[in-house]
Amino acid sequence: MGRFGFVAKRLLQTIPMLFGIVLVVFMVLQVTPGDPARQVAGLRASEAELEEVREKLGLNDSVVVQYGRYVKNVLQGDLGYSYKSRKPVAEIIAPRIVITSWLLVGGVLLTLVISIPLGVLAALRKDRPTDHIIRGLGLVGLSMPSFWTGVILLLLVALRFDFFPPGGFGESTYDHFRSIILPSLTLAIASAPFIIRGLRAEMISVMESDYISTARSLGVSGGRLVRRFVLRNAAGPGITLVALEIGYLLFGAVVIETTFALPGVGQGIVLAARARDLPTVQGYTLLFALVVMAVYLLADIIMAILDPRVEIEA
Amino acid sequence: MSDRILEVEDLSVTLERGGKEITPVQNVSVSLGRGEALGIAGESGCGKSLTLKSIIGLLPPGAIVGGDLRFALDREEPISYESADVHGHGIAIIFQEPMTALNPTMRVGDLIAEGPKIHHGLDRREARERAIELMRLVGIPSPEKRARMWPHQLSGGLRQRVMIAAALSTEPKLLLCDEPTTALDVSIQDQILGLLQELRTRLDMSIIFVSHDLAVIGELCDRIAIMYAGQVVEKGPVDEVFADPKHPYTEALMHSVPSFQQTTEKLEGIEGAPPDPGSFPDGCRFAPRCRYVRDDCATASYALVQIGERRETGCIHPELLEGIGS
Repeated sequence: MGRFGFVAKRLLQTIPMLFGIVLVVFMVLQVTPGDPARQVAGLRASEAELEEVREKLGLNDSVVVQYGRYVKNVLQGDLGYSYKSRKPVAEIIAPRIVITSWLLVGGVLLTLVISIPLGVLAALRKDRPTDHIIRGLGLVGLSMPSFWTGVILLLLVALRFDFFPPGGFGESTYDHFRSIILPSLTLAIASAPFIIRGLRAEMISVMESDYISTARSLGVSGGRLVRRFVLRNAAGPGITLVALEIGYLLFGAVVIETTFALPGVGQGIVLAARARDLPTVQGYTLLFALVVMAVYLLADIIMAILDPRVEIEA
Repeated sequence: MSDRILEVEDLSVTLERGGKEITPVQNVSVSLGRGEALGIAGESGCGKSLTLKSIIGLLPPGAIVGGDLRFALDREEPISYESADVHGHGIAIIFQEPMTALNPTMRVGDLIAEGPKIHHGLDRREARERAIELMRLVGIPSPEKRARMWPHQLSGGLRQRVMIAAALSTEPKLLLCDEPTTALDVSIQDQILGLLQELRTRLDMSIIFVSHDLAVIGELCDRIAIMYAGQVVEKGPVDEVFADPKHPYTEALMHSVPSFQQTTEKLEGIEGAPPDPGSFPDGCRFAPRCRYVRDDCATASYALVQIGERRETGCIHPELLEGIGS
């Protein structure tokens, strides 16, 4: 019961958090300088026209009423209308979410594929040449900015091998798959060093713990020791780390989508910000916040599954 | 070495600390007969735990072990510590803190089943049954139910019993106990000591019991070795050593133990603190804290001298001791 109780409690906690997030996102629009009515009606609009637009958008209502209306609309999936295209913000964002999801899933998978073996290896070979090489590579990965890594991959790989398109997302699922590999790799190169470092440190501290001595004294060694005694204990903090990393990856996506001409949310928020399209920026901000919250929630649930002690700490 | 199960000769352990080499264990020689229980006593930091860990090959990486360790199993040739041959083969260990010694993310039954799976080739179900059998042997009530529990769901005493069951799963001939009762309530301590005593006779197991608690050692052990600053300073049968210590450090230790009989007696601590392994004094290492110290103590080189039939002391002036009655 305990662990499921924890998950239920954690789920309930997200409800006030949701309202908080919506409030902050709403406030962003309120405190941004400039008259939204002017944005909609245009520079040449007369005072009467502006007043009409204000009335239509409900800008004359009190802030509280506006917030209530905003919450109600958001709950119904209505994020308002773009100042520029006049299209619903939800319709602008939705197709972009698909592309960024591909990028994020690919990036996270590649990050894990790269960092789990390397982190484990570095910990097992602590202070030996293998460890130094892995840590050196990590530093190199860390010090390369994503836009640069992306351009290098484009020049060295995409231009030589037709398999990797130099940009865009393509039409078929197969095209999507091909076009997402290099951007995902770019993302993974930037984030894997963090995970490798965290996993290595976590494994080393687990390896020094008493229960590893116990396991050794019972004759458990090698892969069995790592699988049954080390990994599950090191995984909890590792997952928290990955969850934190996904937050950063989301912002990494902004840069990478621009480099690889992927029409995802990262590119979308840049376009919207450049055009001062506030409702759209607001929509993206809300989306980012929700994704980060969902990822943390998921991490906590996985932790609860992995670690039987979670019920105590909850 | 037919009646001897373990011989440790001139053991030393060298570790690196802060770029400097230290030798917290030096010149330790102890031996153990089949079915015998040896106590190792001393203050914290005297090297008693390290001595145990070198016997079972659990020293931290980078530790250098010197001297000779011979462990007699059914085979004659000495075991190799390099390949950690002893793990799961004849020597097992239980620790002071059963909470940290048990894998927090493994059900206790699964932990106990590890040994039988690895060493006796039992399948999942057989190993499970074996684990429950072992839990029953160490006196855990309703073992079927408890085998499915996590370590944090058990009490301290039960955790230590689980630890003992796991140690027994490898069918050891020698059980090393690293202060296994220190973290437990007094009444639970007694239960665990009773259990160890019972298992020792029932399974014909030898025991080395490390503790700072002389009373506990007196209850369980036949012989005792007193350690100070990484060296054994006195050895002998427990009752003889307790009745008539032949080393000033043993005597001082005895004085610092409260006794129920003599309630008026004032407890005497030992002046000063034990030396750090990085700066052991020359000559007799206890000399700076010794109330009987003489000039030649500062230059005396370490040697255990036979005194009486079954006793040895590292003190060069045992005749000066006044005895514990004084």
